[in-house]
Formats: sequence, C-alpha cells, structure tokens
Amino acid sequence: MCEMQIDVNTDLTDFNERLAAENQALLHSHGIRTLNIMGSPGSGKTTLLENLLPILAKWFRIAVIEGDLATRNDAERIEKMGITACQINTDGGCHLDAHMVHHQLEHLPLDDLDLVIIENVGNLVCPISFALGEDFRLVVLSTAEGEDKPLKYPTAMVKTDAVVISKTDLAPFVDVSVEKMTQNIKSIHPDAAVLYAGKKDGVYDCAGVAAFVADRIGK
Amino acid sequence: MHETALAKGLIGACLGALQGQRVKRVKTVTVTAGLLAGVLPGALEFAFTSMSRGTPLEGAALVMNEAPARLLCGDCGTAYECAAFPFRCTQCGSGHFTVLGGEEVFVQNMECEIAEE
Repeated sequence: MCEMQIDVNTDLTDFNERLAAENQALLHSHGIRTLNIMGSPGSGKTTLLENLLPILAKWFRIAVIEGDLATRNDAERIEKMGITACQINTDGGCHLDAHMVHHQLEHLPLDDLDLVIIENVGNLVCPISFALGEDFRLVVLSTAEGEDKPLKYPTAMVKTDAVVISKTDLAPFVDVSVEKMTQNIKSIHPDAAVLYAGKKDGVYDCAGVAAFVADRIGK
Repeated sequence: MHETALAKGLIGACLGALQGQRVKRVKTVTVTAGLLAGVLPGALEFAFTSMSRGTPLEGAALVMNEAPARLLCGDCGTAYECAAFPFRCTQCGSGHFTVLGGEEVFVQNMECEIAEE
C-alpha cells in the first residue's frame, strides 16, 4: 500500500479575518468607528447600552446591531430610544461572524453615522474568536458571575480593550469584592481598562464607560 | 462551541486539497490550534467525525496540536511564547504584552493511502 502526505496549509480563521478587514475598511471609508460588546448571557449588555446610548447620542450619530439566537427583543429596546437598530438572529449559533455583520451594514445609513455598536450573542467563549471589523472591544462581566470569572475566561480578558464590571450594586449581596474582581482582570491583562456600571442611589451610572468610548472614538 | 463552524471549514479545506489526488483513504488530518484560538480539541474532533461522514474524509483521525501564544513584552521588547495563562515575560517578568500570534487554527496536512494504478 502506497502512502503519501498531502499538505493543506490553511488557517481556518483566515476567511473570517478577511471579511472582518473588509467590514472595517467599509466602515472607515465612511468615517465610522465600531465597538463590539461581548459578555455572558444576562451580564447586562443591553441594560448597559440602554443607559450608555442617551449619553453617547449627544456626541455621535449611532446605529446598533443586536445579535441573539432568537427574537427582535433587544433591537426593539434600542429602537424605542429613537436609535437605529437591526437584529441578527443566529438560530442557535453561538456567535456573530463577519459575514453576518457585512449583510447588516448593507442596510445601515453609513453616510449618516459616526459609531456602530455591535452587541454580540451572550457567550464569553466563541464570540471572542471572531473579529467583526470592530475598532475596539468591551467585555461585560457582572459581579454576580463571581470575582474569579476573569481567571476562568482568560482569553476573553486578553482579547479586549476594556472590561466593564456591571451590577456593581449587587456585589455586597453576592459576596463579591469589586476590588478583587478588578485585580483578577489586571492579573491577566494589565493593559485592559477596567470600568464600572451599576446603580448608585437608584440611578444607573455608566459615565466612566461613556467617557472611555468617547475617548476611543477620538472626537 | 463554535467547533461546528471550524469543522465545516476544516472539511472544506481538506476536500479542496484532495481534488485531483488518487486517494483511497485519509488516515489522519493534523491541525494546530493556538492557545488563544479558543478551540476545544474534543469538540472539534466530535464535529469533524460527525460532519465528515459520507465524504472521502470519513474515518480519518484528527490529530490536534496546541501552539503557544506568541507575545511581545510591553516593557523590555522581548518576543516570547507562553503555553498557559497568565502571560509573563520570560526575560523581565512583566505582564504587559501585545499578542503576536497564537490565534490561528492551522490545518497542516493529511496522511493518505493512495489507490494502486
């Protein structure tokens, strides 16, 4: 029996990376910056957006792309605020990819936007490996997920520009130290910005996150 | 669990390389995944086995290798490799880094049995 080795020499991430680069080139040609928000289901990504958008909308023209397995619920929450939103349903898929986002960009008024925010499917593993064309990333971790979560999901910590610790008001009720959680993030990725969001005296505060995003857009 | 998406790409890449070859059976497919690629070897193997049924890759064993993360120290500028978290520079111990590599899922080659003339 004759045997031989056949070379394949293919990086399976190339296809998505190429499409992500095309998305980014298209967005940049319209002067648009793009943010990819990731985090576990229930970490508070959409709540953060609902509170972040009224602040950012004073400075930027924004559209939001929502990713979920099913329903238009999140896009409807954003549209209620008078902000353009579109919904991707992955029908069971665990992450958004650059191809899905490319299709949504065809429907957005790119000439009239400064910022596109993509809220990824709730998942702290798969979305991390798929670039969408974004300029920067936020990972949202809620205090209720436990202060050692950054150590359990180190790839997510490494591949983000900033981590938002959300639901800070819940920390005392779930025996979590926000300070310890911050240290755990910094132990994996010292250069990641750590930001905070949660209720203070009954009012949701995400001013630090808004300032970070505005600074990254550089306007 | 995006291993089904990866398995689909893997099978497509292998079938492409098999075109025009007189292959009787593919024995092994060798893949190297970087530490930062977030691939679960067992899950990729399961997806590959299930999804390759009825193709020339049916029955092939998937050989998975892990590649370390490749990093550039933000303090002393040394390029180094790490096979586990957290990343610390092998020269100065700093935790500040830029990722140079280790995000790839690279299909290297296939060991095949060739059909007799």
